[in-house]
Amino acid sequence: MTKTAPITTKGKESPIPSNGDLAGKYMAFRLANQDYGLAILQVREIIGLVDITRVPCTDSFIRGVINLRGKIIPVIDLRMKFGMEPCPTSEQTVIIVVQYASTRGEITQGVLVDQVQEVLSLEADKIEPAPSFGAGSLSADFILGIGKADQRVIFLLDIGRVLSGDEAKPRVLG
Amino acid sequence: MAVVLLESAIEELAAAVVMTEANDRKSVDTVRHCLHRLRETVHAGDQSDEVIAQAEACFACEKQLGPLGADADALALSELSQAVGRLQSCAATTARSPKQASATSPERVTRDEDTVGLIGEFLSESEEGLGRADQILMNVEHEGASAEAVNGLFRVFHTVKGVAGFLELTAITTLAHTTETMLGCCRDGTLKLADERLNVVFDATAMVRRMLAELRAAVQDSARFATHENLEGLLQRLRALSEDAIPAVAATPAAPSPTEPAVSVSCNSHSPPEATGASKLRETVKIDLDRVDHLVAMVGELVVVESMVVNAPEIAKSASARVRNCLSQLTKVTRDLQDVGMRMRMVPVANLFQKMARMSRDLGHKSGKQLRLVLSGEATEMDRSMVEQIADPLLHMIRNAVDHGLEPPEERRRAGKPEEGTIRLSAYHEGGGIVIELADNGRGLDRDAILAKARGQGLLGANDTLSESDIDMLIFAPGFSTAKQVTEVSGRGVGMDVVKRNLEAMHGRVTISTTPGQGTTFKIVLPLTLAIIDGMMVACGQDRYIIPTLSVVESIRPSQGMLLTFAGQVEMINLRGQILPLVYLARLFNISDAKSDPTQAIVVIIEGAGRRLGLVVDEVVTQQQVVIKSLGLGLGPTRFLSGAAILADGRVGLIMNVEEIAGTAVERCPSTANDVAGAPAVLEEGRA
Repeated sequence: MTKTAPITTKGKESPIPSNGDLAGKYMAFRLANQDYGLAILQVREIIGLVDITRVPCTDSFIRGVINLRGKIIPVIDLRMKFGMEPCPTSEQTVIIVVQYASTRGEITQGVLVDQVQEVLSLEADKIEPAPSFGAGSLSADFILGIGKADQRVIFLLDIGRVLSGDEAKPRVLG
Repeated sequence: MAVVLLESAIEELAAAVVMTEANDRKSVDTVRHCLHRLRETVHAGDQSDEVIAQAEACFACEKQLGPLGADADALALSELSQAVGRLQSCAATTARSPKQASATSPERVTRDEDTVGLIGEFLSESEEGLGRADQILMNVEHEGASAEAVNGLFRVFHTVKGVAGFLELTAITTLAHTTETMLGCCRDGTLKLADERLNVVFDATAMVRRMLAELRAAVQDSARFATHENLEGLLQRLRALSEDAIPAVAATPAAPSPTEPAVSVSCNSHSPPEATGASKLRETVKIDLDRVDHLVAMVGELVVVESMVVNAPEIAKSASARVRNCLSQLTKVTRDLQDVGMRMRMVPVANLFQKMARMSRDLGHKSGKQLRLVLSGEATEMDRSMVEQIADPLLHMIRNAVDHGLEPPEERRRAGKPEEGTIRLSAYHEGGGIVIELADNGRGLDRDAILAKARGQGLLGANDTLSESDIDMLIFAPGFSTAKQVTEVSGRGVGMDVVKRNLEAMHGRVTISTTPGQGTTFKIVLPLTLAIIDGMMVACGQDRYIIPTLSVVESIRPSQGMLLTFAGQVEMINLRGQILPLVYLARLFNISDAKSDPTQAIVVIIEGAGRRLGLVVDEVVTQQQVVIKSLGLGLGPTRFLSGAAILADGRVGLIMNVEEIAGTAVERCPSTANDVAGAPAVLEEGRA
């Protein structure tokens, strides 16, 4: 229990710390040898890889849907979403179930990642603002900040923006 | 009576069979005994042929059980258990069918049943009110009277008085009225609600409650509803306490004298005739809808888990006869529970129909047409949320029937029809679904006008030809209207496509049949409930999909002769003279390892968007009921899917949106390029 007070005092409505107030706990996970982090309040649970039902005529980064204790949730392949090769599944592949508020209400989704690591407590001085990659760049929109812990660099993701940003766009078939 | 005896005999037999092990002679003897009883029952009562046939099958199994006193033949025993299962379901359907017939019959229920129903409502409402009154009284006792409290009490007694008066329950009316009069004075401020007056209201509340209990008992036993002896004393007290403020004459209006028989009201008006004894008092409980929904959802889960257990390979492998029998009982109980759960959400369509009747009267008035709305099958029950959802579409359709369907009186007279137009609105069960039919005896659809309009609006090329039913379905195209002018009633062309979309959202469909000069009939077919559908699971490559059974006409494995080839591709099927387009699910859904030769695959004939087509899939896996779940947010558009379900193995199965597939997919086939109903939505689809 280190200095995590800012998080606990926050309401559920704003789990993402605003600018300069990014300190808090992050779930670190690995994707193609790079570490990423998700605000812990947006992570509902982590489940092992289960049978994913493919949904036809959807974006390629949507792996399908799974049955999460009677609720049906979509699973996103984060590698595909970031334009990398599809996730080769291994024993360490897991689905992080995230929950975030969008304009259309609360959304629960699964995110397929290579491996989860640990929950990190990042203090404000260990987080740098996201550098500008140029207008319209993929990363600039998705990254809240860059965390540093034990020589590692962790991209802190705004998962709501990552996942909901594209889904409203019309799908292009063919 | 015979039905009840039969049911109990079958129940007993089923229980005995479940408990039986082949090497347990005693239990086998019990089964024989039960079979004997069943035989007597079947022969004694006038059972339907079907039940007798199933019972005979059971008796045939008995013979194979082997000699008396010896170990039973295990195979025969399991056959018997299956036969009993069939008998059970057969008897259940026969027992239910007469009820259904009466439920959908158009006659009105007798007045006696009506009254009993009203009394039932009155009892539960009044008891609720009295509970509220007690609470208020208790508060008043502790904290003193407030205007709000007195008002609350006044309202309770006022309501009781109103309904009791309507039901001619004079004793209750008098008591409620007298109490109300006194409370009225308290409300005006002329009297203070305290001490003795407070006590007398307590007593009045208790007395009303006692009288309600007596009324309940009286109605249940069809006995006379006698009044309480202490009533008169209480009335005197109430009057005396009110008299402080107002003259005695005003305080006791129309109060009957103690000797008058009006106080000891007889229950002739509300007790059912003893000869029939049919109208039982129906108790109702008000439950939060969320809880019911939750319960129904949980039952849905139970159904899924049950089928997971029953179909588990481990259990199927090792099952002894006992385990199998228990599992089949489990299945039966689960189905019954599901049935009960479903019924909790069901409400009769009567309210909806009456609303429509009132609407149609107004509409007829506005449009200057004489019309009569004939209702039938008002007692048919439907899922509550579906009743709500169907109200708007139905309203649109009635508007259209009045405005476009029925002719003005002069025109009707010229056509040799009665001036008064008739619209028939009926509801009934058919083939596992609910049908709502709206038929008018007006002029029928004007197909030439529809075609001209469709061409004018660019929905149709000038040289396209359509079948009659395809022309009829044009009226569901967005923006379509043939009305010469926009009237207050209808003609804006936004009606029918909204109707179609709303119905599709409920997994329902609509068909039209029309005869020029005779009228038009719209037939809406809806699933029994929104929560669960009967589905046909089909396989295509590695994928499994569920097609709602309501949309499936048949499924066949076509022979080479039935297939028509166009440009080197098998694109159509000749089904007994009907040429239907073929849609390959594998191509539609981008499935790679599916069978490409239709003669090796299965063609499921589906019906949607007013047309039929053949859907080519690898095989039909099974038929099962599934609980519909939403695919949820975060998946993007999924237009060919209407939802998902959890399958027996715990995986997710996707439910096809047949309307959408039929509306879209046909357009890609050269033979039917003139598809119009779905065209505007389809154009951007253009997939190679």
